[in-house]
Amino acid sequence: VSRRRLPTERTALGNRIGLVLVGLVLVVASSAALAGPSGPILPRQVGALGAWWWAVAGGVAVLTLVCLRWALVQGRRDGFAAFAVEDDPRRGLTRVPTHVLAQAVEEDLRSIPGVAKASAAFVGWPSEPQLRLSVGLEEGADLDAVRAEVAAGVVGRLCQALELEAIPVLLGVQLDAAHPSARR
Amino acid sequence: VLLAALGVTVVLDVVSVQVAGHALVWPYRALAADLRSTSWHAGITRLAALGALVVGLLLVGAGVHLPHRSVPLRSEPPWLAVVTTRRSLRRAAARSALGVDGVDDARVELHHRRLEVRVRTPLRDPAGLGEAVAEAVGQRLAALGVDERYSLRVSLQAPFAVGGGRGRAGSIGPGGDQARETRGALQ
Repeated sequence: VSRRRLPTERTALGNRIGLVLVGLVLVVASSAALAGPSGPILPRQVGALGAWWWAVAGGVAVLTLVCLRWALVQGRRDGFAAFAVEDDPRRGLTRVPTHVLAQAVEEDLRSIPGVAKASAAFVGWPSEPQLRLSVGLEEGADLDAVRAEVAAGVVGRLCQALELEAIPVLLGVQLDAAHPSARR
Repeated sequence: VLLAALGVTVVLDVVSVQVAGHALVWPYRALAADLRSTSWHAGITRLAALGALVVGLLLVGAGVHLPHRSVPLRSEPPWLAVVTTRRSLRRAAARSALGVDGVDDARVELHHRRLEVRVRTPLRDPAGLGEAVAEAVGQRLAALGVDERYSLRVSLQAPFAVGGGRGRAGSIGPGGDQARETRGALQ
């Protein structure tokens, strides 16, 4: 599987770093307040006017932009719209929407004996795609057989259709997800 | 977003006060008067600082705490990674334990890489039952291809057993044929 971080993984990492930094600032500031200097919170000699207030405004503006950026990156998604099967303008452009491919992969997965439910999604980038599969297995299903059919059958056919040598696949398995009779 | 909105109002007010002499959003004269009349040692200040300290510690904890990882299963070829959830693995192990004759309840907990299976039996003589459960669950884990670093421990509760009955019944590696030992004898 590719080592390049997906957008949502970068967001998750950024969130963790942000939480720790904000938390540390709060801990340090509140500890300093508790350890406490005497006197009023706002010294009397601090007036409302002064050049240093512009520095305060600049600092707050930078923090505001950082906060806005933090909020905006929460909307990152991992997917991409389409595969370019034929990308040479002289021979014509052929693009296959990833959601159509994902539906076909899901159908293929559901045809495997022992698979009760399935979902598929392409993530990454057109030049570096990854496939995320999720299957719910019936009780007693042979995981080795499912694994082999996914690798050789489902993904093999996909690679053939897209003319890919291989595609990294993450297969999430829900064990004993349904009784054999509940299979769709 | 809230912090960003707060920041915008603060910048607006600072610029407005410096340029026009009055704030647009916050009553800064009243706020400044309050801050000048409140000491760092005042109860309200200490309470607010304590609150901020607790929130800060919680945020650091949330940022440092690693989420539970999924459980890797045997994966071939190299471009295929197979995983399951910890909950799903627990349920599968519990079902395997329940499939053993004499077991009427099975609960499974997963602590990092250690599966703890607690089974209950109505049998009066549950000798060998713990080992049978360990064998069944171990085989299931091996069939799934659970990483060999995961270990399994079975404890047995037998309230109707002759002489009482609670004990650790067996411990087994996930491969089924790996090191196996009985950690405690049933009473």
